[in-house]
Amino acid sequence: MIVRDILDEALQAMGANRLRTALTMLGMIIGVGAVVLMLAIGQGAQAMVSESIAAMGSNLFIVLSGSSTSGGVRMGGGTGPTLTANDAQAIGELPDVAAVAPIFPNNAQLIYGSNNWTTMVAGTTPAVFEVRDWYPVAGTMFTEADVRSSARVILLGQTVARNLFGDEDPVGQTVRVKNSPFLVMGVLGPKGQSLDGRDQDDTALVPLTTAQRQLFGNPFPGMIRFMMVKARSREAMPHVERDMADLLRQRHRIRPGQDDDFTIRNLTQLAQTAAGTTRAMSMMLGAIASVSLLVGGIGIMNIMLVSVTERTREIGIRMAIGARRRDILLQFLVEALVISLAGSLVGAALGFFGAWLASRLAGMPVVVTLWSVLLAFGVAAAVGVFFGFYPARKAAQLRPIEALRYQ
Amino acid sequence: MAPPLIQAVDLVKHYAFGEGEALPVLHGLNFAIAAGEFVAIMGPSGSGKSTLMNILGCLDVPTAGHYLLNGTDTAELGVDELAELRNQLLGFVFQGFNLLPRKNVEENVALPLLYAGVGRAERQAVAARMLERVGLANRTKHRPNQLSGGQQQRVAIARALANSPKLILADEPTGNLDTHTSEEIMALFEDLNRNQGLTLVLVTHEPDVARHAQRLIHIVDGRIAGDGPVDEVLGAQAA
Repeated sequence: MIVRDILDEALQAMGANRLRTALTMLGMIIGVGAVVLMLAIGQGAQAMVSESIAAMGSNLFIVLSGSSTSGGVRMGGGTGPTLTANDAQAIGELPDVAAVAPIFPNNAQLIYGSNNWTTMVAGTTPAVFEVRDWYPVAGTMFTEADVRSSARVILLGQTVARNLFGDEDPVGQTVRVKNSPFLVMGVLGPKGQSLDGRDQDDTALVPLTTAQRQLFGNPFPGMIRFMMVKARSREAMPHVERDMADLLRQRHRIRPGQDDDFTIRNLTQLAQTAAGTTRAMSMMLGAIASVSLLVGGIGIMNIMLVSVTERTREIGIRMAIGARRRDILLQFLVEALVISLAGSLVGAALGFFGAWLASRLAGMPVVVTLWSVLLAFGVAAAVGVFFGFYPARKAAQLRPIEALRYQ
Repeated sequence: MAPPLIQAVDLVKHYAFGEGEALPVLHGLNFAIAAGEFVAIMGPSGSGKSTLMNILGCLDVPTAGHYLLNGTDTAELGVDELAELRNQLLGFVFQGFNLLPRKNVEENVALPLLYAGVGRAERQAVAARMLERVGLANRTKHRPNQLSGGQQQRVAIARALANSPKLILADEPTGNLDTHTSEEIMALFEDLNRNQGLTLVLVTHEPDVARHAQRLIHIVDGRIAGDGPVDEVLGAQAA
């Protein structure tokens, strides 16, 4: 028998009982549809996380100053006056440190014309652009000279620019921050949400000294809240972390046995953990969806077993006129395979449609990759062969006289 | 002399049931059938004639003894080799017609050719020729359930002829038909035997049907009770 003849036999048998065939296919449709959809959602989440990681910048540490104590009340990390711009500079000279950006943030109201917007204004140095891989899309960045001269210049995040200026071009305009006029040098590129859901574009950058001396005042000269440190490579991160701790303990004159007055956080590690969690979640989604594929496969086996029993006499007739066991085996196997592949074709289409709906209506990030579709088809084919084989073998091993006598 | 088409040598068949118990059905049959003969096998029910038919049709193998079909000892063949033998040398006509209900007449007739690996176009051509020979050239696209019993049996005969077999085995072919239609079917068999030189073996329990054959093998309790020209054997039985 040639392939086309076997296919014809399978289609004829499927056509003879359309409702049953359709219901059997439905199991595969739901299974494959669920797998494609779940993989799309899982991969969408993964893509969003890796985007956030890329947006945050890579190989990052955040070094927070220790907590301050005010009348016995410990104020929490970043409130103590332990870290200074000089610490940042010293860390910048350590080997394998690519850049250090000291940050001195505070909330402030920005006013432009009749619009106002309260946001976090961060005093920092030009190193922040490299550390966070974050550059202006309009205008220019401020320079070391601006930091030295405490220039009243400001860079706006996308959210701030939109809220203050709407469609107007902010570059070259003047905004008022705490009643001081600041020249808008540029607008930063969009960063989107951070991993914990904060809007990273809702911020403005000013030179560090401007923030320290003019905007927010500072009881301790040179104090910063935290600094962001970028290592040259991921491999260098562990020793950069040790070097920084040693250096800061030495600079802060902390004796052995005393606690650090600063905290170092490895942001990249946090990000990797987040990525790992997402990956695990998307695998779990896929695994749950695979269960329905398995159930669909069992449905095929069930129906094929019923079909073999119903068609025992037909099998006997075919054997009497010369069908070999292999012919019977192939006939039923191909039937199961056609059902599972046709079902998975419809299922994949429905999965796509579901993914499209999820992204369109629910705003979920979805990613449909070729390999997820190929995977679904491969699994469906395997399901067809695996669950079709037992009934087909049962048919092929019938004895012709008994099959012929079957009523 | 050429070897006979069918040769049964001490043919024994037991059916095993339970632990080591066996029901003997055939007790060592010996006979030969030459090409071109038209033989009827008669016997009461339970005499073992259906069992013999299954062995002659290569659907079953003997417990002991030998069955040689066209010089091949079937006892030595596997399941698939028997299937090929059935496909190439034999044609079956059953009491219940045994057509596939989902397939039309032409597809039913072409089915043996499908398993012989014949291409689609030739299958159709052969099926058309066979249907013409049994007088159903104008019914090729009908389903079996749209035909009368006599017509269905003609389709079954056309199917049995499709692979140009050496031997046609008919198991009570007129059992489900009225007298008139039976006569028509038997006339068709006689014609195929006389004019096409086909070898026919027919199992029946009706003397009227057996009379269409030239030779009669009478089986009682798994043994041959008579073998010879139909009238002689029937006469001996009556006496």
